[in-house]
Amino acid sequence: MIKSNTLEKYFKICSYLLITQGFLTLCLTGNVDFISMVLYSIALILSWYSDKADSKLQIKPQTANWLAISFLPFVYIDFRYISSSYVGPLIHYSLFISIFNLFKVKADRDWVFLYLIAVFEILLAATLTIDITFIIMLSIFLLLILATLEAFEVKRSQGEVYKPKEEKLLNQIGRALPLRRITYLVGVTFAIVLLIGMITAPVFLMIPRLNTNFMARSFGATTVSITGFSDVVELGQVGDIKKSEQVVMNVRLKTDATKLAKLPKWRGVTLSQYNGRSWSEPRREQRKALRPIDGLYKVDEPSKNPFLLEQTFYLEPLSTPVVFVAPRPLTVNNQLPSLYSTTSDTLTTADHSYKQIVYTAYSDISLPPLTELKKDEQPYSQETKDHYLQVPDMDERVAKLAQDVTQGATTRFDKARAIEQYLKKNYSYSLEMKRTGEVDPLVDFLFNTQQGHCEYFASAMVIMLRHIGVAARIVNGFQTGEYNEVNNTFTIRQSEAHSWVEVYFPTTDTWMDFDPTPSAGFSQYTNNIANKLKKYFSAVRMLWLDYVVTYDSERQSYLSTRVRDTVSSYKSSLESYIFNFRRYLLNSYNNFSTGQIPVKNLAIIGILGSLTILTFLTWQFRQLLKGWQLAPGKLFSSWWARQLFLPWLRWRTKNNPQQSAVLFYNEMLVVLEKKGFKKQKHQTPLEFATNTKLSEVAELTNYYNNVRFSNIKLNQQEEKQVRELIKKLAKKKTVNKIPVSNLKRLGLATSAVSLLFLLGATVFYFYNERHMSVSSRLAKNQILSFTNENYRSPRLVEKIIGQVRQQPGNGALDLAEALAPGQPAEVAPKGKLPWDDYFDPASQPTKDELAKIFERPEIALIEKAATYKTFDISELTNLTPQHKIFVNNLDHLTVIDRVDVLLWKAYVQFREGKTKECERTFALVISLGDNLRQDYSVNNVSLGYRVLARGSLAIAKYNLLSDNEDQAKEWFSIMRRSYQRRTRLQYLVGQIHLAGGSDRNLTELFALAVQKDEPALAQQATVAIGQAWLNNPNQVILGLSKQRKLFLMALTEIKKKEIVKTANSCLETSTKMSFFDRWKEFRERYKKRF
Amino acid sequence: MDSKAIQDFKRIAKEFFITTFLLGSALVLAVVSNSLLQTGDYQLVVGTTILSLVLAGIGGLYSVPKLSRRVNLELFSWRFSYSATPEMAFFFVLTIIVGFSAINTGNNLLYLVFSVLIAVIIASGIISEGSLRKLDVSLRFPEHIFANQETLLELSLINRKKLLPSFSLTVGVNTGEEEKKNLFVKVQELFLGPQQEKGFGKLAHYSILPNNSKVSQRISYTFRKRGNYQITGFMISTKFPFGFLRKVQEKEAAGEVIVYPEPQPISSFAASIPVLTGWLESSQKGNSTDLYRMRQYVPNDSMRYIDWKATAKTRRLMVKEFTTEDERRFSLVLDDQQIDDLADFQEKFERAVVLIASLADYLTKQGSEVRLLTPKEQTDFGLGTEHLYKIFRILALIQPRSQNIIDNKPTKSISEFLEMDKNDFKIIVTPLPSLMTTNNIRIKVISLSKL
Repeated sequence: MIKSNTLEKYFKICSYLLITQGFLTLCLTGNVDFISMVLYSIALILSWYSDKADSKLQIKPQTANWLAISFLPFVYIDFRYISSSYVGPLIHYSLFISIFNLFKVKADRDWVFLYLIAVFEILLAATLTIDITFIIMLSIFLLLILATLEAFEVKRSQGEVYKPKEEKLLNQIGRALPLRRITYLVGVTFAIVLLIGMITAPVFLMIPRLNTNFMARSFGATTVSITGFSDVVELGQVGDIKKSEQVVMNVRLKTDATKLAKLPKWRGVTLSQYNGRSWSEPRREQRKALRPIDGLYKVDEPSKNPFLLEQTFYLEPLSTPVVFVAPRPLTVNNQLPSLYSTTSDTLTTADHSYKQIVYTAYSDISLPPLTELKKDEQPYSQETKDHYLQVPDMDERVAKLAQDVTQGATTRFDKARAIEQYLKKNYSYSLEMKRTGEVDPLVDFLFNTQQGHCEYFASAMVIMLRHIGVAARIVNGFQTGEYNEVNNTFTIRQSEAHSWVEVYFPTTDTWMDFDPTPSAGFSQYTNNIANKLKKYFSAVRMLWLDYVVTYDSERQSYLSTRVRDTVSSYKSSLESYIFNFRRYLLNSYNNFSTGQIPVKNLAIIGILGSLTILTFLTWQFRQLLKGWQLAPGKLFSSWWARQLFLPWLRWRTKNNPQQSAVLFYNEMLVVLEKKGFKKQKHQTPLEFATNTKLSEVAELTNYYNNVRFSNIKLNQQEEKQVRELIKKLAKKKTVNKIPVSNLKRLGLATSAVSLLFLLGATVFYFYNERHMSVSSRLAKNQILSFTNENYRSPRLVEKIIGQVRQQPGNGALDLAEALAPGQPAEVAPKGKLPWDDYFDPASQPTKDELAKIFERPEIALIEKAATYKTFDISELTNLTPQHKIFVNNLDHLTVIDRVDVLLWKAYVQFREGKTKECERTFALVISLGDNLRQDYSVNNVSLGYRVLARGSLAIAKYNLLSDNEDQAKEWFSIMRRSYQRRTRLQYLVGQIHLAGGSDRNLTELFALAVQKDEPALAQQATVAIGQAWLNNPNQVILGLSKQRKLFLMALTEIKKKEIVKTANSCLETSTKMSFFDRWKEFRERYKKRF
Repeated sequence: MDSKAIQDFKRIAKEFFITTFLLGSALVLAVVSNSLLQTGDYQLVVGTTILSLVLAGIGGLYSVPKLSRRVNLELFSWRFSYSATPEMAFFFVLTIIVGFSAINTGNNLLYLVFSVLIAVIIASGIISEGSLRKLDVSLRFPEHIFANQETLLELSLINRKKLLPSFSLTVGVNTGEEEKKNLFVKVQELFLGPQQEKGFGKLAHYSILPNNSKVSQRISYTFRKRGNYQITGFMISTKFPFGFLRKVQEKEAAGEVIVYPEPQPISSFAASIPVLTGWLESSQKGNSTDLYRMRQYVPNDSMRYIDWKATAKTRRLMVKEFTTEDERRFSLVLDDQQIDDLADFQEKFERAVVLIASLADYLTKQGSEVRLLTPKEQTDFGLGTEHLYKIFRILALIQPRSQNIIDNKPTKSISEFLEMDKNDFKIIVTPLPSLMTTNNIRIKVISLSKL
């Protein structure tokens, strides 16, 4: 009998684990009472042991059914009197039914029923919790249900057929092995989970979303009933205030929180009316619904100098509709279904007691300068007086205290500060509320107990301020919360609910916040390991919220664009890789044709080749071993094995005639097989010998039979005879068709493949060559069209340059000095350029910082360089070669940095109203750019265009600011042209180098560039020609003589001395020397030059 | 394409359009209800939502039975066919409902569940597909098989895949006839347990078949009926991993299993042929000494009868056969004519076959020469088990001959048999009542109606 015990056991374990997991998940919600928990656990354990064929604990199916029905009345009683909710009876009933099914004599359908109950338990749990632990439990449950379903399927299918009498597993060569069913089943479960995961992710991301998902409703999230925060303030209660650590919301900031000067508190509601006991807001009902425009609710206008803070709120399901946001909210995005704004600056939305909501808000957290606030003595409007100066009848001591405290303070601001500080210093924070006989709780706090929580402090401050005629109100909200550096968010808990004070300053229409609560009232955060873990946990949860719960059409389209971009970037990198590979092929071909064999490449090829051969040999050896196991005679089937093993085997069987006979007979068989005679299994040696009709075989068989089946030993002569017979046989031509052995087939295939590869490589090479010539032709056309544009400096540029270029002399010298190596690379102030689109006034450097930079000597030098009449880097003579190379290839970043300094300077001058100086600074930048543009080094030309473009953009913006729109337009077009020109230049240089396939094309290109007076391009062509020559000295020796005339002709026309000089000297030396030396010398010199 | 294929295509196209229409309108309604959500008219939203879910449900219910029919994918030259299990029907309806609820509410957790459900379907498809690839079956059975006797079959499954194991494979043998069940029966089975019996169609189950290996099982199987079982192929099926989809791969094979009628102890027939027992005993005694013929030795022959002279002459082992008494030669005659008037003819005919088989078995073991005569096929007299199997083979295949059916094979009538070889003893089983009157002592007629 086959043992199916293990499988049965596996199935049982899986099923019980599944049922247990369903139960545990339900338990974790905290809705299962202790008695049920214990009873069910006991039942589970008992049923595990009773789940046998002849257990006495098992019950009949009918009994179980009747029990299930008779339990129903109890469900009603449970619902009415015990649990008095739907959940309790449901849980009890499902657990009860589960127990009775567990004890049943289980058929397949009972198992199904048990699984369904487990699923039901999970669904029930889902409606009772939104905790992330649920997700973990759910994952385990899913894993278990998969494993169980698989085992169940196997078990059921097994039941459909006959029980086998015997089952055995044989491997490839027929050896019996143990069958590890469970290992395989567990393995496949994990594989399936992986597969499902892999399929789920893209399916989830790709299913079309039809809406923006404003509300992320969990499977029945439980409401966080807010205890700390409330929209009224009631004073006077006695006793401890409970502090809950439950999370209310998470806030993510776009700005790095560590860089903010002051962390904002999250404002909820404002309260203005005090009746001696509690605070309220009568105008809260006067709300107006905001309509979203372009996906945003507009709440307020920004101040003059705004500092925007982007905040994304992840609110747990809360029992309040209040929308929390940092002070002075400007916009809220329309992830919220509705938004109401009240006249008392409170934002609310629809009820979300069961939903998590996510919204993004922008607040302007900038404050007017203190000086302005301090100056503010503007009288209040009637409305302000009505609402924010209201005071109930009170003990006179309060007004007196206010007067005393603010003695010496003259302005509203100072008064407020004085009271804030007074309360902070003289009163203590306590959550334990005590009362004395005093009726008025505020008076009690101020004069008797002198301790209280934030609401007392805030109330006291507002009332005191109102007594001395300063408009103020109470704000309820939350403290900033605990910073989670893992994902740059703040976690806000119930305990962080807070009240503080806002004081009104009418001139700037600002509500400035003050907080009189002592620091003991603020949460302290520990940073131990547990807390860090919690932070990671919370970050994961936020990820879950971000990527799953709030995933919507917008994010979907964003994701698809990202994917597209990534794909296209991969595509372009692939293209460039192919391009490089082509060049590499070409180069290596060139190297090869010159006898210059790259050692590195050869080594790589060698290693790869030997690895291939080694793999092949190992594989062959393995095949051989495998074959040997099956049929030892096969050992002789490969020639090298024969060479290796045969002598050894002969030596070993020397003293054993029978074995030696087997040996030579096998040898003969192998030889015969090659001749096309294969001994069939059913043939006896004699039969086979007769069949072959070969006398040698008959003779050998005779020997074999004699030795093998009797104890006759061959004498030396006979042995010799045997050897010779085999040799003779091997040489004999036979008529039988010789089948091709696998090894030969492999050899043939390999050579065919390599032939194909060679053919392909040749075709590819020629295609490549053709492509190269095509691309060089293309390059020629490009240069033609580029140079035909005949770029001249625009009129405006000429004009502006004329204003500054007055000094005689070469400006390049000063520039070279300013940019000499060793100077600090980065001198520009940090932050965006004032003329840029994304200029952020908040990140402005201070005036002092700027002034220091403006005074740097290298800036002065650059300014000076732009004022000279001529500018020619190739004229510079007294530079060191290294410095010259540096000047020929100016570092773009360094130059742009310095130009940016000039542009900053222009900005500062503009702000200070010095327009003349500002324009001059601009002119200097443009002059510098124009000078560089005319250089002969492509690098510098491109840099020149860049400087020009940057300068013109700044001038255009400047013109816009000074309402000179026509000029601005022209400057914009200059900027565009400069950028265009620069890009095309870069492209052309690429084309020229691409065209390096034949120097004939290059020479033409060179001549063309010279004709069109484009020194930079001519220079590039020279470089490319030189590189082509370097790659192939034949060109220097032979090609040059053909092309020399053309080249020299072109050179004489060129105006830049440097190029002519370099090229000429190359040519002269090359004609004077011997072929080889010429090439060597040329190579050396050329390398140095370019 | 032949006309049947065109009809099939039309039917499939129609079903496809109806399903698409139902699901499409459900989708449109879902979108409508979703946009209505923005307006805030909740009654309308709830109404359209429910309507859309109902339509989706109907669409699902409409298409599932169609799915459950076997879809043969011979287009792709794979011999795979699929049939949905009732679990699949539940799962499918669940998936559709979850999908539409997701679209209706825009809730991402529902979307997630929906994606998981889809992934489960796809993954189970991939796994079962992989499980069925590159498999070979071989079946070995004994040469002689008797009805109602346990037979050991050796069924091996070979997995030729280099890396992937296969799981939960059920192997059956195709004998041309196949039972098809509709979805209703399948749902019923899910709740009430399987109604069908284990059969030739589901022979063995392999829980795991590791890569590059072979698992062979020995199954004891009992053929209930005599006859010729034509094997047209093998059916490897799997419901792995979740039992949603039964995927079947058919392998063509050719072969036949001939199941002999089961010989029974002769005593049970003694009542019907009272003369037989006593009379046969007496016929044992006489043993003539006249030479009948010389023939080559076959195994089972007694060494006593080897004629050494003849052996030496012919250089082969030869045995002498002596003439036997006339009484030791029996002709068993089975009349296969079908008489429609006779009640339970088929059953009685089967009994007749068993009777003849039992007689042949008994007589052969007694050492008598036996031959079988049926209108279509006749054997010579013979001895030994090989001859007995020959008779069994004919008996295994014999079917009642209806008068209406004209057969090409020449037949002989019972009266002809009566005239043949008057010396042997004939036992005739026939449905014809007219033969009962024969008075010949050497002829015993057993009426089919009395069996």
